[in-house]
Amino acid sequence: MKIMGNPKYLLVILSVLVCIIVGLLLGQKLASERVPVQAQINTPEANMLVQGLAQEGWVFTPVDPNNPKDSGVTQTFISEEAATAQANKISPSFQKSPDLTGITAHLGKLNNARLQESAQRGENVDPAFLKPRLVWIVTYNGVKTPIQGTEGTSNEMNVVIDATNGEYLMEFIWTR
Amino acid sequence: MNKRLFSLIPLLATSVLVGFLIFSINIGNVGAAGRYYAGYFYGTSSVTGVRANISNANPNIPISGGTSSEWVMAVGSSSSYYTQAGWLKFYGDSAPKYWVEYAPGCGSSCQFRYGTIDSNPHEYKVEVSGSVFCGYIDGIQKACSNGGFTTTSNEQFFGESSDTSVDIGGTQFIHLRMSYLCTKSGATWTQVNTGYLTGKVDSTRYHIDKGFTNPYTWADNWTQ
Repeated sequence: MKIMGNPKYLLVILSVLVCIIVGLLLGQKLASERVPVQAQINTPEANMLVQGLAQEGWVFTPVDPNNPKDSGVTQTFISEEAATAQANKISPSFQKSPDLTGITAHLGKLNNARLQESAQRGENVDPAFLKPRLVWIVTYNGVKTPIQGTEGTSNEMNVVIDATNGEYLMEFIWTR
Repeated sequence: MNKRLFSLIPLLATSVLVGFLIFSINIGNVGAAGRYYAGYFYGTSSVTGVRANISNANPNIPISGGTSSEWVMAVGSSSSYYTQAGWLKFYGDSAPKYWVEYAPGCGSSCQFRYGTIDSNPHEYKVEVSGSVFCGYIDGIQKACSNGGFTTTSNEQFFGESSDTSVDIGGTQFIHLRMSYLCTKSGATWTQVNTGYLTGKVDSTRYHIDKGFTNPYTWADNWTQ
């Protein structure tokens, strides 16, 4: 009761609370800014993405966002930052993962050769990637995801965003 | 007064540190999520397709890093070869997403998730197309595996969760939330003979029993 009635102690308690809030805000800001987003093309990371996807039947052709016409892209597309923001919005847990080591984004055309072959056999396939589609692949490096079938854990998450309208298309894991 | 204020500096600094640590612990709270299963195996040989309808579920995922899922699956000669389709929800998701997974691939297993599922039941299927198993959702082929097996004698209809408190749904008498369980041999789809699905019907909800951590146990383990 003495403490409650003493304005000095109240001031101290209030100061402590303010400092805790400041600490929380600082921590949140640092956590959200600790990983810079970088667009990359013709880098080892981009080549690894291309080659890896090729092994799974996907064709990914990187496009330089600064010189899209060099790759025959004349349509307008959203920025890397907008694509990353969209991926963060759709799957907010990835950017908050304690295992996150970096976020990269690759612009390119993506299609699925296996689904194309199935379609030619008369299968009813997902049309999303039958033709090359301009996408951003936003990669969350280091993010661990449980693999359902093996009880293992992957360490990379990729979110595929339609580069022309920001639509979420799919996400896929990788183990490196 | 000034001396007293100065004496408070360590306390205030500690408070800032405590606040920072509280947030850091919060974002870094990835538990050692377990794997718990409830469901059925069906051991018909020379099967080239597995399918079932699964009604809507959107369980809470209480543990950071945790998941819940329901799926149909075809497994090859070893557990390193499989294709499965169903819904999969991660911690932090507002709802489950359509999902196809296969192995080997993508450095270990390939896991593709698509849009958020709606409230309707959906048909999930894995079936041989060409010479490999592919995953289908509502009859639409979503992804195809790298192959490694063209028939299975290990068909699975399962729910999986990282936490036993997850409540997926179901009732006392219809605790298997899947319907129209079928397997395909040759060109013919046949409904699973539920008489060969052993189990008990003593649950009221679809909680996954804590003791059932091995999916390769022939059992039905839905318990309250």
